[in-house]
Amino acid sequence: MSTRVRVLSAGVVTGAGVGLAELSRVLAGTGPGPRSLADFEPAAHVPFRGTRQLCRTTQLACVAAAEAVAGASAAWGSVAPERRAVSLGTEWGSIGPLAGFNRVVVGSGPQQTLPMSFPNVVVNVHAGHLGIFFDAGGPNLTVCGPAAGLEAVVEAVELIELGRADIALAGASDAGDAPVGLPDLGVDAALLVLSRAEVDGVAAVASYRVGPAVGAARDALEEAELRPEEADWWWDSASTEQPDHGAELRRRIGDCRAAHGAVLLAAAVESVRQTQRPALVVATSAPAAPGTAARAVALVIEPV
Amino acid sequence: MTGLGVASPIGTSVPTFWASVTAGHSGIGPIVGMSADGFMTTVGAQVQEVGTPPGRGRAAALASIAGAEALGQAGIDAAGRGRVGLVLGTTMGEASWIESWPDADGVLPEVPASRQAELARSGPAAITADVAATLGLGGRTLTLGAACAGGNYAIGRAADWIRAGRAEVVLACGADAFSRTALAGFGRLGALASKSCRPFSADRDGLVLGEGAGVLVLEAEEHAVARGAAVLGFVAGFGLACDAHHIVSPHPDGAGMARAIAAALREAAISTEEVGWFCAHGTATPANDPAEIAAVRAVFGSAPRQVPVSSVKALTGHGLGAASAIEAVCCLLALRDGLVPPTWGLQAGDPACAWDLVTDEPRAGRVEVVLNNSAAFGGNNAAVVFSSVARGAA
Repeated sequence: MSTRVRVLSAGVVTGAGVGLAELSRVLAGTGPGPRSLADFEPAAHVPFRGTRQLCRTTQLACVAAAEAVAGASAAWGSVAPERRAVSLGTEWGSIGPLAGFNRVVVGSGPQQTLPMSFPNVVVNVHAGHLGIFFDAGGPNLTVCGPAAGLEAVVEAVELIELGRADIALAGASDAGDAPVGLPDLGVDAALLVLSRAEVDGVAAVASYRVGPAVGAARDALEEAELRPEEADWWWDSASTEQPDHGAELRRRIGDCRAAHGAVLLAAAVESVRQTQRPALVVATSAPAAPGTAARAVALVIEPV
Repeated sequence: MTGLGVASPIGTSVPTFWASVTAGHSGIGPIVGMSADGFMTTVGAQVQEVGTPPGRGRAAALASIAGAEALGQAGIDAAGRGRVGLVLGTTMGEASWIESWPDADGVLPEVPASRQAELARSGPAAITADVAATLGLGGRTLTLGAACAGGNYAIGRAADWIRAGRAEVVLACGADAFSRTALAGFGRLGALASKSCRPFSADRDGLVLGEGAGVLVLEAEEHAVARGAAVLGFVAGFGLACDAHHIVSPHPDGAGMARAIAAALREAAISTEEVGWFCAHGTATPANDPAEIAAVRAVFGSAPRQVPVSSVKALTGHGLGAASAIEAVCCLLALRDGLVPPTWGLQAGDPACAWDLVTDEPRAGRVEVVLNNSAAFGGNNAAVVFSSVARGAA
């Protein structure tokens, strides 16, 4: 069992609104329900300048990260910048800037593109901006894919376990803002602060597995020495054998795409804090090819 | 490592690639397959031996070629791939999809439902899924968006999985396809060379955009020995650091690079004087080369002799996510042959890059440790130390 990594805090921007408190209210049925983030203005939510010209994925990540770091400011501040990591997941992080950049290349010519619009098409700049804004000079990772939110958290856990970092901002951000009439790609971000076990935190990472969906969840629970009914399930599957808070979250705030696993984890951490019960969090992605199993990232957290 | 594979502008197999590297055959030439009108250069480094299959991403096609070669050398046949994992580093996914999209009038119409499936195949993770399906890999996969450091990120994290006992065999891959998007973007940043790539030269004027893929098969030594596979070398150390300075430009003092390099050496428990070759990122941009040499000075400055430094991008161009994976293949071959490739074509060096720069011809000698350096947008720096015998983290 791994109890070396702790979750200290979380920050979210979701269809429930800005902040973990808003998400909790919606989940508890006392909030106003899903809302549009179309008029969301990040500058009102971050304690630094320079976010206005950034692309939407970066802006959302900055707001969620600012809430997470504020919730763990003492721990974050006590770690040297070069020991602070960033691990950010995204599925469509650069599709909007990529489409927009190509619109100008084709419509007006390459020389009419704005030079600093190009970096936004490169998918790792969102995490790079977090490194700059939050003075994190350690490992800086970008994880891509449908389950990237929780996968990025697992990457951060491994970085800390291997001694590559002492503290990490980990989670996901996705802004489906492609200007080509794409289907709804989701607009959400969730970042958590994870740390070595010397800091108490809200929850401890007990185990994690990446692999075929059912097997990953079963193995993660087994490694955490928990029976299925001993944990609250945050899965987002219509067919889990236990009551599923993840499916309820999807019903209330919609599909969070890559950020989904990180949003689930943020909600689960808040639940652990309130109930002192372990939680199983699972993010799945569709089969990579016909005949292959759905992949999942399963992570178990428990009270400290 | 037990297998190597490469798809590059100077060869689509390891033997042809290495022959080009040691003989100085360049893959840089006029851009083919698209009009260069309006772009800030007319040259590129493309894998002309490989076409783009209809309906398939080019990066995935290149990575699959390199992956098949690497698996073949490692002696892992189709029946043995069910638990083999894949870590892939790349830049922006299959940009070719969005580049095929605008119509003749230069507008981006809304995507009809009939083509939305293509969008689902355009993200970075789709490259990984395609390669895993093509090669029949059934293990854990991970897609890292790490741009020009993608290969080293993939190698380092694949090695981490094995060290932690979370995987037995993992393919580490860096891959990217030549794209109009990157050509326009680097051009507008003033980073493209007009004719050739001249790392560390006083008259260098930028990078030459390339493409390709490099693949390494990683497994624990005891696992390789147990199945009778030949061990080609070891990942002795891995270091990551973020400049946290500027989203495009490296820190002028190479501060982040130096931290990544030092971390890799520390993990390898290898002293600076043991390093026989520093395989440089060496893009030939005005900003990268002096920053990289500043990082070399910061880490190796107190060593009794200067570590030999060179860049193979003078031949391969800059393959972005593929670059450090292709260069890692070079590192393993340098260990095998005791041969340090030069920076071909380097004549008058930039005084700001003054160091022991290998020029003119390969330098023969005993090489037991090499360091592969890389840097990327976002201030992402990654360094990997390879050794001919097990050291440090290996």
